[in-house]
Amino acid sequence: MRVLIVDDAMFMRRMLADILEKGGHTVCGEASTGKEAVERYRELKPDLVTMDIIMPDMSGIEAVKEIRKIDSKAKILMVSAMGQQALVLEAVQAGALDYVVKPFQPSRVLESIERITKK
Amino acid sequence: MANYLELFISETEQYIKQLDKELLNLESNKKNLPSILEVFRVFHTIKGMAQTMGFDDLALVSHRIEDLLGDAKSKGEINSIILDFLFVVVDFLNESLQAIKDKKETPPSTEIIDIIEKLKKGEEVKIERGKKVAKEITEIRIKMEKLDKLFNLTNELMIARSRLLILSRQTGDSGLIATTETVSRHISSLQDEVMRLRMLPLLTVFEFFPRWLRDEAKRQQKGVEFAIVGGEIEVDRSIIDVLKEPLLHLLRNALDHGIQEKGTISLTAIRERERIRISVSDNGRGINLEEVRQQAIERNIITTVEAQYLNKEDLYRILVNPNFSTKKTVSTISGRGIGLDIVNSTITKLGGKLEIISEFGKGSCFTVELPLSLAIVRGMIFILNGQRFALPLSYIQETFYAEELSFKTVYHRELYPLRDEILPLVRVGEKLGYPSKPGRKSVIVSKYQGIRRGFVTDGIIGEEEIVVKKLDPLLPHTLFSGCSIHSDGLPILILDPGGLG
Repeated sequence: MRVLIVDDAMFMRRMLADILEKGGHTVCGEASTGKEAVERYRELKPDLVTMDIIMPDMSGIEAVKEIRKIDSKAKILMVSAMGQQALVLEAVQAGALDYVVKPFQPSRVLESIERITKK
Repeated sequence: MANYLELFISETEQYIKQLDKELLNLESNKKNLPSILEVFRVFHTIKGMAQTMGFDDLALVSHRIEDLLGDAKSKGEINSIILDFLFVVVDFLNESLQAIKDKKETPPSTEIIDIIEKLKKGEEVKIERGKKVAKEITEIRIKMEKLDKLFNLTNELMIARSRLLILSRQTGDSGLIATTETVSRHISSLQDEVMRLRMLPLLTVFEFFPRWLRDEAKRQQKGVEFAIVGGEIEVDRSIIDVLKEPLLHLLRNALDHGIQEKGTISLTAIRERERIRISVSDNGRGINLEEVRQQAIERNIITTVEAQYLNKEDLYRILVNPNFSTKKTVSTISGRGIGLDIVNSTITKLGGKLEIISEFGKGSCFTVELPLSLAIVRGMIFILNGQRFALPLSYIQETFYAEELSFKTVYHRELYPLRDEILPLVRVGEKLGYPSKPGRKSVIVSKYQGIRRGFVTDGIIGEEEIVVKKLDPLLPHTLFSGCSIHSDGLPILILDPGGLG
């Protein structure tokens, strides 16, 4: 599966990329802000997006809404740090399909992706 | 995880830099919402990374800061206490990151968390910015007592040093001599440094005066401007301790007798090599020397005939005479404390002098001159009856040899015709109860309270730097101002020229 990783921290992007690649997926692109994520989605048409919430210029939630406008079937997995439960709920309402909370176990990320793709 | 550590460190470093930048932005404008949001985001990101890496304290602090910032985010304005605190948190982040780099345990977050709790409850918190950078402490407080101990120890070392030098030279062993000289040099530097530790700025004493003067001037309904110059000059604590009373008296004088309705009083300190000069000057009425002359006659301090021969300097000296005062009515404060005569004798005893300059109708200037330290003085070492004594160099004007036969006796007083002057002589040995031995004498000419006298001694050894130690206060010692240990280990008594009259 071709995955777009959205996170403002390079550290997190690297870690997610490693997990995804080990799980047999391909990282087709990365974005570090909400706006960038929307642009990237438009260009790359990935199979899946991992989305951080708190980011510069546009939040992950706004980005989810924008992406869903481009592609109502977009598969988005929220990856957020602890303490953002309310925001995660908002993201799910905006169209995200699942979420994992940092710090995450690699297996937890992969399981989520599996669940999403089956939906 | 280890492969992510490097990335974690470098990225967190960048984020901390960004935090610094944003916090500074906020310091100039607390309503900068984009900066508030950015600070929030950075903490959030650091939290996520730290959690992933298992740096729990770092993650917890970042997490709690996010909470703390909730208010600022919704109000669009950060409060200054929280802002100050965030600088402390940045220091904590830096410390933690450094520990991570050094593969050491990260600092505990308890203190920071405590403050966050208090801030959230709206309790009062004292934020000391830069406290966390305490790794580089630049100042510490030391009890004077400990410093005194250190000072005494270095003085003992100084004495042992001189003894060691003499003994090592006696052996003729060049290796030993060289080593001893090196050690000796280091001991000298050590003593210099310790002396410097004891230095305090004059402001330590001066800072008391403005308030005092303001209150007193108000009570006397006088308008006084007060200026202090040179408060930053550092002197030994031994000087600081004794300065307050004499200066207070001089200021009282300036206020009571100098300033009439309004005027300026200045307290000025300047340093001249190893001496300090402190002046109390006023632009008040000045000293009427004719009045001084008249009163001195009335009070039988001088005769009418003597009065005609007195010059300005002599008249100023009368001012410090215990029987003299120009103020007929005692003001509410001039009766208190010590008189000008005591100021003078206090200063003189410390190896200093009091200078008076005044112009009638224009003002007066009283200057106290003192050594920078009383703990170490240059002294002249001399011999009496085979014993060594010292006299501080500050009292000494000259020395000369004289045959006893050339001494003259007038009314039971011994005198010596020195150039065009009749010098009164003092047989110091006799005062100490030593038998007098005839022969060639060494005379030390000392000036104390304006009077020159010749101290008759058996011989002069030379000048030396001596470390002054106090004598036991229980000993009656009007003749001695202190003692010291000579380089050969034997004690030396230091003569007080005031007691040798």
